[in-house]
Amino acid sequence: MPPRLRPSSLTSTGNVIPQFIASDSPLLPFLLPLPLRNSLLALSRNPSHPPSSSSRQFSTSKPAAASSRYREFVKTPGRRNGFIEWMRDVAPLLNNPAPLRNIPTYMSYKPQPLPTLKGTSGSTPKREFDEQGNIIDGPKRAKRPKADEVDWERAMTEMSLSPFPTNPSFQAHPVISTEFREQIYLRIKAGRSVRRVSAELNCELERVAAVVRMKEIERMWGEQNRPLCTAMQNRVHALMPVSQWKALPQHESITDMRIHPATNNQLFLAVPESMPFSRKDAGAALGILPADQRMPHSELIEVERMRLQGKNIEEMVEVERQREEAEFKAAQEKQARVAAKKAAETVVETDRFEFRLKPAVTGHVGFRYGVPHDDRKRGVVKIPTRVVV
Amino acid sequence: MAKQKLFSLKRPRPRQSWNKHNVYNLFRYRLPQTTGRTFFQQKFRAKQETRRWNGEYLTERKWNSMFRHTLRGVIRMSPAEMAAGDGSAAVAGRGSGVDVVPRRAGSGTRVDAHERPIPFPQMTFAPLERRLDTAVYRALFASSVRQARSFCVHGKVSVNGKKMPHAGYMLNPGDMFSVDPMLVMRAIGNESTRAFRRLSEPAKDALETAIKSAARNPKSATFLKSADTTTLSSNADAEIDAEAFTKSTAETEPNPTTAEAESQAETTAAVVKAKEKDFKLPANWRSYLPRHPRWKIYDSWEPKRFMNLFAYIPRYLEVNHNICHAVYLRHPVARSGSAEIPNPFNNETMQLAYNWYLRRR
Repeated sequence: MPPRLRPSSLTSTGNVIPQFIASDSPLLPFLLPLPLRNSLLALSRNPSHPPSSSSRQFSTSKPAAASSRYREFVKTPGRRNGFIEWMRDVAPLLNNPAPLRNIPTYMSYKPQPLPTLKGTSGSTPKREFDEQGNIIDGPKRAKRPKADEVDWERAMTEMSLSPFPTNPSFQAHPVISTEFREQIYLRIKAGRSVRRVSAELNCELERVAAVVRMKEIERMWGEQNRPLCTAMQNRVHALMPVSQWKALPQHESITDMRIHPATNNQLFLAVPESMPFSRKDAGAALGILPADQRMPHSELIEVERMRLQGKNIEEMVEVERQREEAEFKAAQEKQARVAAKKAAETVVETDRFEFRLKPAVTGHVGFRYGVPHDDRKRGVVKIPTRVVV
Repeated sequence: MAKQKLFSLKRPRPRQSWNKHNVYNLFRYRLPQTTGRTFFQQKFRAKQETRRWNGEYLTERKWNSMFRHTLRGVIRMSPAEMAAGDGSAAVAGRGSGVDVVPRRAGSGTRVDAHERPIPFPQMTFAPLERRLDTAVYRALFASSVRQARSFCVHGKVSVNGKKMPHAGYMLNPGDMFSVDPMLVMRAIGNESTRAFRRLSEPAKDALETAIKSAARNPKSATFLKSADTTTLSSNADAEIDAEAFTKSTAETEPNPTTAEAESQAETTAAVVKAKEKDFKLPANWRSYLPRHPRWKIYDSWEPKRFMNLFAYIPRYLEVNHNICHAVYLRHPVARSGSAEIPNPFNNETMQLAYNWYLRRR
C-alpha cells in the first residue's frame, strides 16, 4: 500500500463517480439508470473535467488497475449479472438476422446504425462544375439525398470485418458467392485445367478443386430430384462478406508460400561479399527446393519473365499450351501407374472392410509377428487417420 | 465429458457457442490482467483462459498430446518481383541487401515487403481445428462445438461419404465432410422454423404423384388398398401441415362400428367435394413418400438468434450450404497481419499460452 497523502475516510473525487463507472466497461451506458447515463454522457463530452477514479486528489495519472483493459472481472450490476437488462437493451442491436448488402454485423462494443447521407452532405451539397467552370444544373446534377438514406459507400469502407473486438488479428475473409462457384464449375467443365482456372479467377487451387467436387454432388442431387437448401444458403451468405462474381475477380492471393520449417532455424554460412547469393543458393544451403519451385503457381514467374522480355502474346500462349500438355501427360502417366498398382492387388470387399491383399514374403512382414492387435479389445478406440475416397 | 457450468453468468467463461448467455459473456469479456503478476502466473492465467475457449471438453492430457510447437505460416510471393530478379539483391553486400527505394537521410522508417508481422502465437491451438467436430462448427453446420460433437457421435456426419462417428477424427487436406441438411437447418435455424411443419412445394407435388401412380398400378407393393380410401382434403396448393395431416388421418380412421366415425367421414367427404381438386390420401400416406425429395425440407428458413455475430467461414474451409457439404482444403495458416483461427484472444495472451505448453517452461 503506497503512503496516502489523504485519509481514505474523506470522500475523494474518485468516489463521486463509482469505481465501476470510471472503468471502460462497454456495458455501462446501457445498464445505468437514465439520469445517471445522461450525466455521464455530458461528462464524457466535456473534456475539461475528465472523470477521475484516482483516490489521490493531485494525481492525474490513472491507477494501473482501472486504466488497463486487463481488469479482473467484477460483478456486473443488474438482474442476473446484468443479463436481463442486456437482453432488453443491447441484444436487439446485436442480433441482425438479415444484414443488407452483405455488410456483416459482428460483435462490437458500440453498436452503431448504418451511416446516413444526412450527416455528410445534407446541408451543403457539392456543386459540380463542367470544363468552362459553369455549375451543372438540370438532369445531370446528382439528386439530393433523402434525410435517412444510407451511405452505402461509407458503410462498405467502414465495415468491421473483425468478429472479436479484442482480437484484431482475426479478420473474416469473404467467401465466394454461388454465382462465382457456378462460373468456376463451368470453366472446368469447358475443359480448362484447375491450375489455369485458379490463376484466372484468383482462387486457391484447392478451393477450385473443392468447388468442382461439391458442384458435382449438387448436380447429382438435382438429378435425383433431391431438394437443395437454397433458402438457407442465401440467408447464410447474406450474413457474411461475400466476393461476388465479376469480370476480373480478386478473391484471394494464390501465391502464398508455406514457410518451410527448415527456415525457422538460424543458419550461418560464409559467403563472399562479391558473389551474388540468389534464392537458388539459399535453397541449396537449407537443403530445400528454391522458392521459385515451392511457390504455388510457380508458372506465373515464367509468364512474368516473358512479359519482361517483351515477347508477343502468341508466343506466350504457345508456351502455356506446351506446359499444360506436359502436365496433362504427366498426370495421365501417374494415373496409369496407380491403376496398374491397384490391379496387382486383390480386393475383397466386406460390409465393414475393404481387404486389399498384396503379395508378401514371409520374412519381410516379420516385424508384426507375435504383436497383438488391440483394435477389437473393449475400451480401445481406434480412430481412423484417413478415409479413402 | 466432464459436467461443468458452461455459460455461468457469475463467473463468465468464453465458449464457442451461439448461446445467448455465451454471447453476453463474450460481450463483457476482458482479457486477463498481466500487470503485477509473475511470468508463471501470467502464463497459467493465459492458458486457463484460452483452454476455456479451445476444446474445454478435452482433458489436458489429450490436448497436450495434440500440441505441436511448430506453427504454420505463409508468405505471399510476388511472381513479378521474382521474375525481375533472382533474389540476390535482398542479401547483397554484407547481407543487409540493397534498398529498392533509397532512404533519405533522417527518415528512420524502412519500407518492408511485409509491414505487419505474422501473428504466429494465434496458431497455438491450430491442431484442434483439424478435429472433425470443430470443422463442422466452423463450417456453420452446428451452433456450438459441443453440438457438432454430438452430431459426430450420433453418426450424422460423414467424411468422404463414409460415416465417421469419431469427433476426434483429424481431417486431412482434401477431406470432404457432410451433415444431414435437415439437421443443419434445425441446428442453425430459428426457433420458429425449427419444427418441421410445412411441406415444401416440390415435396407436395412429389407426394401426390407418388400416390396417384400407386393407385393406377394395382400390382405395385404400395397399391392403394380399398380399406384406406378415406378421402382427406389435400389440395396441393393449400398449405399442408404435417401435424394436421396426422391428426386428421387419425380422426378419420375407417371404423365401421362407430357411427361417429361414419359421420366424420361424411363431413370430410363434403370438404373434399367443396374443393375442386379431388385427391385421396390414405392413412399410410407416409409410406408413399419417395426417398428424395424428403417431405420435411421447407422453403423458408431463418437464421438462429445471434448467428450474425459468428457468421464467418475461415479460409481453410470451402463450404456449400446448398447440400451441407464442406471440404477441408488445407491446414490453417497465419499470414502477415492475420491468422485463420477465430478466437477472442490477442497475441500477447496467446503467446503466454503457447509458452505454457512448451516443454520447458
